Amino acid sequence: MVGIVIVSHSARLAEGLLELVEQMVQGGAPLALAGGVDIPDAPIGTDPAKVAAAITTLLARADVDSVLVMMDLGSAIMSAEAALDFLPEEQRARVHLCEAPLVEGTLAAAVRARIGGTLAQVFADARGALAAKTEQLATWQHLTPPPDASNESAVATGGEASTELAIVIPNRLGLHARPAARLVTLLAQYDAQVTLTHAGRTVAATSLNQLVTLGARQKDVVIVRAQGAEALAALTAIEALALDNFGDPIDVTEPTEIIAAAVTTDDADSVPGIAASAGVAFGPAFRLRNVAPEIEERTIDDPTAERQRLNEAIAAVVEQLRDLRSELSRRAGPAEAGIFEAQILMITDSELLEAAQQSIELRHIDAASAWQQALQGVVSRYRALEEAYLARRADDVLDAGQRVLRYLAGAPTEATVFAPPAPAILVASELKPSDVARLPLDQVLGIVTAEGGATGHSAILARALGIPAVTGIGAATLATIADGQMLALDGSAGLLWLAPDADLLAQLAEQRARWQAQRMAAQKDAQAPAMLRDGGSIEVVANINLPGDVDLALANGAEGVGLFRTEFLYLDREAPPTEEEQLAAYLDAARRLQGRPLIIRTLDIGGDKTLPYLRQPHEPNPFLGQRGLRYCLDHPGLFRPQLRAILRAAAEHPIRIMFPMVSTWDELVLIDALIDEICAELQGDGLSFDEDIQRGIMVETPAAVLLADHLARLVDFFSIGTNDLTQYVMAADRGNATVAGLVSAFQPALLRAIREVVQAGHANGIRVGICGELAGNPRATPLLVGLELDELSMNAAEIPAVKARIRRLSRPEAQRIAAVALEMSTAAEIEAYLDEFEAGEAHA
Amino acid sequence: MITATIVEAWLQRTAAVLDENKSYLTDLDAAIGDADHGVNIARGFGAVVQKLAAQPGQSLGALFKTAGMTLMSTVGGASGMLYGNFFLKAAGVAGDRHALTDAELLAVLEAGRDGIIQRGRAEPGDKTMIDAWTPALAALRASLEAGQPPAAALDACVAAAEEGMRATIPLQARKGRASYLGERSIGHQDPGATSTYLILRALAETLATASDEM
Repeated sequence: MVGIVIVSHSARLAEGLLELVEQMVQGGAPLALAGGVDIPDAPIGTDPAKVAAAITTLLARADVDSVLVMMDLGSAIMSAEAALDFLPEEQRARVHLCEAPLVEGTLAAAVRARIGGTLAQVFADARGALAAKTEQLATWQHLTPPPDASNESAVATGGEASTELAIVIPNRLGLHARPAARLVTLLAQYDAQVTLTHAGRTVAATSLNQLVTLGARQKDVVIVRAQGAEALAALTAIEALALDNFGDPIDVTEPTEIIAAAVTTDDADSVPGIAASAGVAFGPAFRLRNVAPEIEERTIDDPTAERQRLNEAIAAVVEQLRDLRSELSRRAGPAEAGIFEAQILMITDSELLEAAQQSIELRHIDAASAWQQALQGVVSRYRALEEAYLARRADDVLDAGQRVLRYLAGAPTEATVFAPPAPAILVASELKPSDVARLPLDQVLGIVTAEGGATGHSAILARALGIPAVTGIGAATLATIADGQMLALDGSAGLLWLAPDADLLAQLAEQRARWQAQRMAAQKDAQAPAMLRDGGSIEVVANINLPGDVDLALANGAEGVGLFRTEFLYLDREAPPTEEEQLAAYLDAARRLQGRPLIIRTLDIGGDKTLPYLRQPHEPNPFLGQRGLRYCLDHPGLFRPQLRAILRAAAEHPIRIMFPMVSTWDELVLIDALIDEICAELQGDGLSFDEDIQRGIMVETPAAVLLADHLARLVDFFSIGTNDLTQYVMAADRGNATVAGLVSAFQPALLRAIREVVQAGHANGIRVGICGELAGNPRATPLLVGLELDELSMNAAEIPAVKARIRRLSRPEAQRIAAVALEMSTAAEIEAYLDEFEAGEAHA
Repeated sequence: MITATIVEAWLQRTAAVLDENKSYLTDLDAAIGDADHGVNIARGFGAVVQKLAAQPGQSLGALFKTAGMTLMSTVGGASGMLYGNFFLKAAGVAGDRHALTDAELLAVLEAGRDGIIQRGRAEPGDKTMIDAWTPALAALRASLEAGQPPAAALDACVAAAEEGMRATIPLQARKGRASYLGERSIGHQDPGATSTYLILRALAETLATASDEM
């Protein structure tokens, strides 16, 4: 029989528990108590000698062959462990310590022991003892979220045995927001309850906020436990993710805080900061306005409606963040844009949500106040983290959380406003990701921030755009700067002048001229056409989202725009843009291009892109649903103003129109008919337009690839959208971590699809371009040139490198590379082959 | 040489120092724990001194074992278990010696420290007594290896313990009762690290007095 030892700080608790057991188990079970300590004035405590004595007493009984030790907390655990040290080896092997909750565990263990269970069975029953209670209280869980989660989180422990795994955190910054977000996303796909334990804290893996505030650092060991039908599969997936550095590139420079060396200067008038982005700038200061929502706590009558309001606000903000993600991804690269993914998880976090819902339900306060209070709790927990990088994520939670507050308050979507009367030096505490995505770049001469290192959002953006920047000047200095005050900064030296005199300004103007000349020289190469070594050129054009993006594209050497994603004209608004608004935007872009070609893609919504005012139906599988042209053809009220605006803009500019998500011949026939109809209408209105506008399609569905020889007869050009085409060809969602590995544009299947499309296009005498990410990857350039693409369209920042790569190629050489690569069977082989070629060239 | 007499004197001085600082330690514990550290630990070391007085002439191993067992049964809280295991592990290294060389003293203290880690599973930075023990014994080892006399080496050891103790103030507790407070544990000095500093200071003072007398 199994004997049970109860270890408790309180002798009375141990005795009370004994009483419960005896009442429940007829005839009792072999129990021994080790409660309290024998110190008259301080009886609360534990004593290992008592524990050892209790174990020995039980083992001495003829009917007891093994012992399970149940204990309360803290030193009770240590006492039990110490007691084991005192026992002879032979006895120690017959004793087991059990972590189950004391009361429930002891009762369950006693029942099982009484009916003759083995040690393993008694142990298992004790550990499963919480299940009944968990189940019974489950219906109350929506009202009773885990208590303050800064303590132990109340993680339900079901009756089923859990499986566990120890992982070592590989990431240099520990389990920070990005890897944690990947973990949460990954686990959402499994039917399993997963917890992570680190340094004595256990949190649910569904909560990004809890995961990050675990504070697990690099090389820390974290215990992962999973229960449920797919527990094993979930653990396997986590192990794979951990081995993959949680999806973080290992050699990429992480946004670690760089402490700039103190700048020493003789110039007493300058303030030292961090040299964040090279270059000299001077001009009037202009503060980035922060629109903080004002919340006043109100009592409400209908908690259910109020909770609903909160849910709607969160859903709306998630949409905003998704849009910002696309925008920042374009401006600063996908790695930086990942922060929005994390922000989405931060504000949809079950912990945060439940805390707010509970305040509404129990205290009958308004959604905004409930959310603000819950948010404050999470933010302060982030701030308390030791790792500086993790602690600064508090700002990201706050940024996203305040969006919800503004939405609830009916305030403008964006937190900040930067609208100086003339180009100015942007002055801010720190730029948030959402500011970076929305800054009117032509108004920013330079950037000065109080916080932030050389790798913050501000610095990365500034460097990508060539804007001089000094960061980290400190809040005290920042507070002294007034709007309109003349500032000067040297982003190479990390210096800021608060009152530059005429001499200094003259000197800086000279420096600025020199700096600009250097930049111009660097960009001049990019301005020249991308000529192949044996003559002939490849057209290199830019992808843009807004007309203002044209300037940067041209500065980087774009020869036109190969993709104007018009979705961005439709974002952050209450209603779609009118025909006139659109016409103005298209003309703006065309004028900035000064006669260079402009391809405007019609509205591509659906898939992962939605517009709040359109009431798109919920689709179970939006990527296979009504997106792109499919939606527009079905909604002429939305589509016609755009077609009219594009046709009108094309009257005086070299504008072409392009349709996304085409999969059938019929769609093109419908489009032609619609354009004819609109031309007649415009003629009737007495407006000028281009009825012979060049029409093209995005080739992004396998259907369009297979039908390319037919479709080519109906259009003037093809542009291959490799991002979506890869997903559709590989039947794999790149947002799904378990299959994302399949989504590589170097897959031979995708390259063969490109070859088909080019051949079909050229056989029909039309141009074929490419506008996916592959186009901007210099590694792929030899392949794409060899595949005879006429035009490569990419993000502005990628243009100089791709042009430089083209200039080192000859067409026969590129054709040979493409021919060899297209005979290979795997993406890995192709990539290795391209790298080998590149390396060989570097040595030649 | 550190004789059994000196070790006994150390434990007596420790008991006295902890008794003097009983309220101070308890106040520290009140901020982030259960307000019993000072009282508990002073009582425990008091009991150790009484036990040892009744059993004179023991080997160092036996002496440390008595101290460890006594602490375990008279302190009541986790610190009794931790310091108790310190002396039990120290006893294992000291064996039946009656005096320790400087190097042996270091080995005894390090074994004891490992006993604390084994029982408490704390790591540096968790805001526990380990935050005092780790730098203190690192400094002691470095000083002895650099050939410094034991008195100077122990001074360095005590200074490092004090620094480690102060460094617990900004930390967030990740072990023990204080970890339940989460971020509210920030800003308070850890009582366990404080008693460790006091114990090591008592050791240094005892040795200084002993060498003065010789």
